[in-house]
Amino acid sequence: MTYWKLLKIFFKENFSFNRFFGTDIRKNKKKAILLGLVILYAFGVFLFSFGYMFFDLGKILKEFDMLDTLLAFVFVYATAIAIMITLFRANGYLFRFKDYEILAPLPLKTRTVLFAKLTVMMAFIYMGLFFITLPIAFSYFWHSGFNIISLLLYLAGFLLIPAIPLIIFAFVSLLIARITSRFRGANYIYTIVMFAVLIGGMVWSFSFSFAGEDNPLLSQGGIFGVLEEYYLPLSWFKDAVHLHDPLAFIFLFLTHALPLVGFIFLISRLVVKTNQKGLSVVTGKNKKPLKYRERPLMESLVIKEARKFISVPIYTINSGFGPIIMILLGVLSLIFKTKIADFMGEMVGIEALSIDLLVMIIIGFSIAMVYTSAISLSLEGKSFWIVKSLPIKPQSIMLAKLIFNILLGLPFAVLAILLMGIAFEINVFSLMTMIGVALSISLSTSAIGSFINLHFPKFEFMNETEVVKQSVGALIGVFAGFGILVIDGVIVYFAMDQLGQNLALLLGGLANIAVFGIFLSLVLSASDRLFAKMKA
Amino acid sequence: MLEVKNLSKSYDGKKNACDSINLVIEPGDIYGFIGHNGAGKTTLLKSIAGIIDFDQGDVIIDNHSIKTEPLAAKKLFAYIPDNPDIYESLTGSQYLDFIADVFQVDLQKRARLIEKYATMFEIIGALNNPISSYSHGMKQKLVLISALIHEPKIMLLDEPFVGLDPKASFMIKEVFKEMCDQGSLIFFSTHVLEVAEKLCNKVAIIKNGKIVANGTTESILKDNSLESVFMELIKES
Repeated sequence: MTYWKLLKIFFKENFSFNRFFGTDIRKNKKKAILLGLVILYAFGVFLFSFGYMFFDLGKILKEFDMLDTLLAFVFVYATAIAIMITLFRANGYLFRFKDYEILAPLPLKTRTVLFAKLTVMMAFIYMGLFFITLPIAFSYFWHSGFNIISLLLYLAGFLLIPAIPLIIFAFVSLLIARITSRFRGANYIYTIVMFAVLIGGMVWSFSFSFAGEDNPLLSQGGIFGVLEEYYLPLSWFKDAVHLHDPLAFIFLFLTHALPLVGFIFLISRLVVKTNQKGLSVVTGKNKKPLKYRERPLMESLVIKEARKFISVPIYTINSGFGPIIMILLGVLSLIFKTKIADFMGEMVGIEALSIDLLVMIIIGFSIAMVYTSAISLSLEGKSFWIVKSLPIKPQSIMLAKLIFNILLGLPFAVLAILLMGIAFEINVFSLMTMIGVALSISLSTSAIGSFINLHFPKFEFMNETEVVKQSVGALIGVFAGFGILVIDGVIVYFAMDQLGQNLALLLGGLANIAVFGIFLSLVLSASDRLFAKMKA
Repeated sequence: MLEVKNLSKSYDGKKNACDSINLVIEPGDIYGFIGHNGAGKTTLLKSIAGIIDFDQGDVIIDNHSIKTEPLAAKKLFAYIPDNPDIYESLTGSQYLDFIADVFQVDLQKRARLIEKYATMFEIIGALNNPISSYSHGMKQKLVLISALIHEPKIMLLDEPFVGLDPKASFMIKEVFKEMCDQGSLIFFSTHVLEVAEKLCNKVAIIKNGKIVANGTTESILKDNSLESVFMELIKES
C-alpha cells in the first residue's frame, strides 16, 4: 500500500507534463501546439531514419533466415541503454536522492522507499528502451509475421533485459562516486572516469565492426557474436521469442528477476549509508589565501557558465561529449589515419563521400551535440533570482550563455579540423572553408539553443539530470542542431555539381549565418519581455 | 528614497496578492514589514526588486522606475531572499567576486569589504570552499555579505534573520543601524515582531495583500506591544 502511494508521488514528481515542459502548457495553447509539432518532428525524424534502416535490415535478414538477429539488436541496445541510464542516474535515484531528508524521518521501510525509487528509475529505462527498440520490434514482427506468443515473450523479455546491467552498473556508478569522492575535485574525476567508460564502450563496440557493408547496421553485427558467446541471456532471449523455447524463457526469467529482488534486499542498508553521507556539511576551514579578480561583466558571466558546466558531471558529460569526440578523432587521426577514416565512414554510413565532407559531417554533429545554450537558462533554477535582481540586462545574460556554448564547441572543432587536415592531407583552401562552416554551425546551433531555452525554460527540477537529459530544451536543442546539418546537407548535395565542394559548403555556411542572425535578433528582442514573465 | 505607488499584483488574474500598495521609505529608515503567511510580503519585495512583474502601479527608486529603468534602479539596491539559493558550483569567494564584478567594485575595495564582513560573520575560513558544502546559515551569511560589498543605498530583505545564529543576527542589526546613519534605507519583512519593534523606526502591516497600518513605530504601537497591535489588526480587518 505504502509502495503504491510513494510510487504515485514519485511519478507525479518525475513524469508530469509540467515537469517535462517546465511550465503549465495548458495555459498557452500556441506554445502547446508548437511544442507538439516540434516533438512530433523529432520523433518522426528518428523513427523514419532509424526505422527505415531496420526495416531494410529486416528484409535482408529474412532472405538469409536470420531474422532473429533483430532480436539481438533489441537485446544489445536495451542493455546499452540500461547501462547508460544506470550509470548516470543510479547515484541520484538510489544512493543520494534529493528528498532523503523528507523521506528518512517518515515511518517508512527503507526497502519500500528503495523499491519505489528503483521503479521510477526503471520506468526511465523502459521509456528509453521503448523509443529506441520500437522500430526494431516493428521490423521483426512485420517480417516474421505477427504472433501473440512471440509478442508476449518479447514484452516479458523487454522487461527483464535491463535487470542485470542495472544491478552491475548501479554498483559501478556507486564505486566510481565513492572512489572519486575521496579526492579533491571529486566531480572532475568522476566526470573523467565517466567519459573514459563511455568512450571505452564506444571504441569497444566499433572494434568488432566489419567495414564495407551496404547497410551500416550490418557492421554492428560483429559485436553480437562475441556477446552471445560470453553472455548467454542474449541467446535465451532470442530463442524464447523466435523459437518459443520455454526453457530459454525460464532461464531468462530466473537469471534476471531473482537477482533484481536480491539486489533490493542487499542494498537497503547501503542506500541509507550513502544518503546519510551525502548530507554532510563541510565546516572545516580552508587556509588557502583568498584571491580576488576583477573582470568585465561579460567575462564574469561567461566564467560563471564555465564553472557551472565543469562542476555538474551530468552536464559536462552530455554537453561535452562533442568536444571530446572531436579532440579524440583529431589526435587519433594523426596516429591511425586509415582506421579513423574507416571509423568515420561507418559512423556516417554514406558511401562515396570525400574525406573533407566526412570530416565536416562528423565535426558538424559534434558541434550540434554541444547544447548548453538550450539548457543553461533552465539550470539557473532556484538561483534565477540572483541575475534577475542584479543590474544586468537580460540580453547580456542570454549572450553570455550563447558565447559559452560557442567557446565550448568551436575551438575544439577548429583544432580537430586542423589535425585531421594534416592527417588526411586536406588542402589549405578546403581547411579554411571547413573552419568557416564549423564557425557558422556553432553560431547557428548556439543561437537556436538560446531561443529554445528562452521560450521553454524549466526552473523547477530536483536535479540537473532533469534539465540536461529530460527537458524540452534539451530535446529540441539537439534535434534543432541536427536539423541545421540536414539543411546544410541538402544545400551541399544540390549545389556541389554546379559550384564544387568548397563553394557548396560555403553556401551552406552562409545559410547557417542567416539562421544565426535571425535567431540572435529574436533572442535579443524578446529577452526583456520574457524575463519579466519568468518566475523566480 | 523608495516609493511604492499603487502597486497591484495578481498571479491568477482573480485575487490580488498585492492590492494597491502605497509606501514611502526615506533614507535613514529601517522599515519593518509584517504580515501573516501568504499576506503578500514576498510578492511585494520581489516586485520592488524587479524579480517579478506587477500588473499596476510603479516602484520608484531614487527617481528611477523599476519598470522603465530597471538597470539604473537595480544598481542602487541589494535584495536578499528568504531562501539563500545561490550558485552551488562556485566557492564563496568566487560568488562574491561575481557580485563585485556586476557592481564594478574595484579590487581593493572588494578585498577590504569581503574580509571585513566575512570576518564579522565568521565565514572567512570557508570562502574558498564550494557553496554546496555550506550550511543554510552560512549561505545566508554569504548572501548578506554579497549585498554589503557594493554598499547599496537600499537594502531589501525577506526574513533576513531566519537561519542566522544569535551573534550574526546581532551583528547584522548593528550593520543596518550603521548603514542607516550614513543615509541608506532598509526595508525588510519579518515574522519576529520583537525585532521589528526594537529595530525599526517605521513599520507596515499587510493583510491579504493590503496595507492595514503603516507609519512610525511609536504611532502604530502607542502604548501597546507590536504583537497585540498586530493581532488586533489581523482580527479587525
